[in-house]
Amino acid sequence: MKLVRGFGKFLFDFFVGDTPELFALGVAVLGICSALLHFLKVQTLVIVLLPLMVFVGVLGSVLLERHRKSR
Amino acid sequence: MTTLSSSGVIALFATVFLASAVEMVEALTIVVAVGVTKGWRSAFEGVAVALLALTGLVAVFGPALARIPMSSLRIVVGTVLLIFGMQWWRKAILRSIGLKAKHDEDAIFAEMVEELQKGLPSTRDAAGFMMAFKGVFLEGVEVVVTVITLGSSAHRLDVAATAAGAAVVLVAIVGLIVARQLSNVPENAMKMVVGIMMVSYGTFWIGEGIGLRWPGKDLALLVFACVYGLLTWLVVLSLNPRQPSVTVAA
Repeated sequence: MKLVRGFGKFLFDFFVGDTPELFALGVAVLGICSALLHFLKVQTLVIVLLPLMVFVGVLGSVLLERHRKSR
Repeated sequence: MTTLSSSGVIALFATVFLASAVEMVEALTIVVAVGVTKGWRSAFEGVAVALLALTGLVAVFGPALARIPMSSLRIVVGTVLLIFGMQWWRKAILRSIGLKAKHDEDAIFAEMVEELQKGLPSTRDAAGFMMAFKGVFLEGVEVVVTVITLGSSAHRLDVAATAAGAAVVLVAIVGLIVARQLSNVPENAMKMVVGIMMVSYGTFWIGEGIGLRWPGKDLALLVFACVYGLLTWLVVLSLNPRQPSVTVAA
């Protein structure tokens, strides 16, 4: 049990760590783009939206950290 | 099914090589610190057991990945690479704009030596063994994840494994020569490039996995890397605190 808990903590630190917003962003990018492509069939929109969401998300996380440090 | 062109193979090799080299520099710092303070026997035993554990990990997860349908594999791999790459990319930007301390291998080495010197050195030291094992295993897991995810989704596990092997050998040779001068490695620049490349691969494979047809096929990878790189440069430039102007007295 201790081993399983330790492995779970290791995985959590590995993928989530101190940036839960980036983990949420990764899952959101996959969910939103997948839904847009399969239900609305908007290839061109997803081609632009996918990398845009990624960049805006990382920029948001950087700005969030800057805001935290400035307080 | 997408297979990589020669430019894609070069990009794959470069990404895996840089990612592996960065991780190996971190592992080497720990191993050298253990070797110097607790004796090389404990350090090498820790390294050997960690390498065995990593081999076991590859043996278990490698064939399992081969049985997953390609589109599902690309979605999983793409998401892992995206999350992992965004963490590296964010940290590298924060270090570039001075919001996070740069990874100083010399300081880490000195700190570890001080910590390890609290105990008496012996020919076989449990603390030294554990530290060398954990250092190599944890950094090695990141190399294994990079090799398996990038290699399997691009159908070029051979290229990814060769790149990682070359990085391990190169870092080991350089480590033997420079030993304690690992702080000279431009780690943040390497991490920035690796972060951007991982995010580019993540973007590409998620798209492929959900059925998107990227214009230019795998050339889209290089376009992502260039665009993300350019945007990073603009972000670092605009968020970097301006240096105060210096007035020189006549």
